[in-house]
Amino acid sequence: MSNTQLSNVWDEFGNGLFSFYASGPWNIAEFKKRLPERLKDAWMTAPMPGPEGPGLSSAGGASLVIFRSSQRKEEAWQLFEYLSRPEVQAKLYELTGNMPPRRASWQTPELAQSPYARAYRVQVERVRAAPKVPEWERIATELRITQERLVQGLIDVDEAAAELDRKADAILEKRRWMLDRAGQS
Amino acid sequence: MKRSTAGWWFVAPALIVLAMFFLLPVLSALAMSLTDFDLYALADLDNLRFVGLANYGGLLADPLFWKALGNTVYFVVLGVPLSIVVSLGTAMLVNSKLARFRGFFRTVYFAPVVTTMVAVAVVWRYIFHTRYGFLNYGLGQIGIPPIDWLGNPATSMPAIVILAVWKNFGYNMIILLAALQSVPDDLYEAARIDGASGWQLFRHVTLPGIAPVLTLVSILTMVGYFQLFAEPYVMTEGGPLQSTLSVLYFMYEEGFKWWSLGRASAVAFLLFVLMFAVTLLQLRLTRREALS
Repeated sequence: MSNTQLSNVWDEFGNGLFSFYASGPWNIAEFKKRLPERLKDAWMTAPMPGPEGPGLSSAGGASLVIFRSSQRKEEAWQLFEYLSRPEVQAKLYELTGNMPPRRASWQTPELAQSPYARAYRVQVERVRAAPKVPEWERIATELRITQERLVQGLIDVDEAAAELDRKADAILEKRRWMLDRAGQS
Repeated sequence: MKRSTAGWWFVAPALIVLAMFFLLPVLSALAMSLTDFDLYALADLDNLRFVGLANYGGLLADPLFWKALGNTVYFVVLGVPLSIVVSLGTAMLVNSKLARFRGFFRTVYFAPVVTTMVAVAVVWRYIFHTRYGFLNYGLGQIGIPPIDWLGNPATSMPAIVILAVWKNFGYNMIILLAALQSVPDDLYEAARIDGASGWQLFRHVTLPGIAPVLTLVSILTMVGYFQLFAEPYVMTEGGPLQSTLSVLYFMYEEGFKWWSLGRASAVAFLLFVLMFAVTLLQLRLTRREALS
């Protein structure tokens, strides 16, 4: 099912055109709001599947970063500490629907009692941060392109892995050269 | 002051503007295409490497570039003749003495040219929609099963061609309309007295009469269609399976999505060389035809 075949994921999910949808917690409120009344209790969230039991997921959203050349490291760190407080994260969840990354923040009643949030609580234990290199976005795109070719049956799994490896290697060539040069000097 | 120097003074303003806004950018792009200018170089010029022709070599060895080139040529080969035929057909229709409301139809046919691509795309995405699309509804009425226009790699480019032709034919129609009106009526009258049929009138009076304009229109259309970008950008994002990835889209992604500006400049020059060659070929062909 590709996005060109759907006009609107919530409506088409309600129509039964597809049975599952990989998305983030920000969509919980949308599904609650847009699904028809009769399907109110007919759907649930689940953690990502993996080859052996529950699978990994990438930590979506954004990361907090302090630049090495920053003039205001102290203040930036204070902001991080503030943003990491459980009560602040609970407030953020209330306002935006974005789930908190800290375990302690999940004790608030809204999150602890929401059945839809439970799957995400389980998943939080198995997240991996995206690699911290600027090339990652491009490698992720190549991953998607290779997956698409795999799904269409143009290549098999081994070929896909080899192709992706070669592409990622080529994308990272410049970075390797820069790191080598920094190592020499 | 000598006459020849005076001449240079007169053209100087134009030359300065050309040098600043055309020659200089082109030369710097050419220089950039010989380096690996990217995000790292943007942050610190020490990270810039001179790579010679490696960008060009890398592109010519990149299957995705060839795929983009193949898609673009497919689009041009399918789209340009279709676009010209539709433009000429509608131009003749609205030029016909039998037609009513000619002003109204001219406006209607020209309207797609002046509408915004993004607004058009929203409508056309619904027209092409597999389940709820008007096009598949129409095809369903004559017994053709629904086609996943934008989701199937085999039909995505034809869908883009349909959209591009619809969007652009009005512009050429106006130019061809002017050309049609400049063909003298007495030629038609003389041919009719000689007993020429409708097709013979078109083949031996209309076509030779508008031939120079037709050449111009086909060159302009071809150059425009080689620069296919907005249609796939708003409709398919180059997908599915890169089947609507054009050379310009490929360049955009290299340059402004991944910031490999060196490679993107190399793409631009390769596309320029290709378009230049095809235009020269087209000019030579039409010139030979005019001589024979």
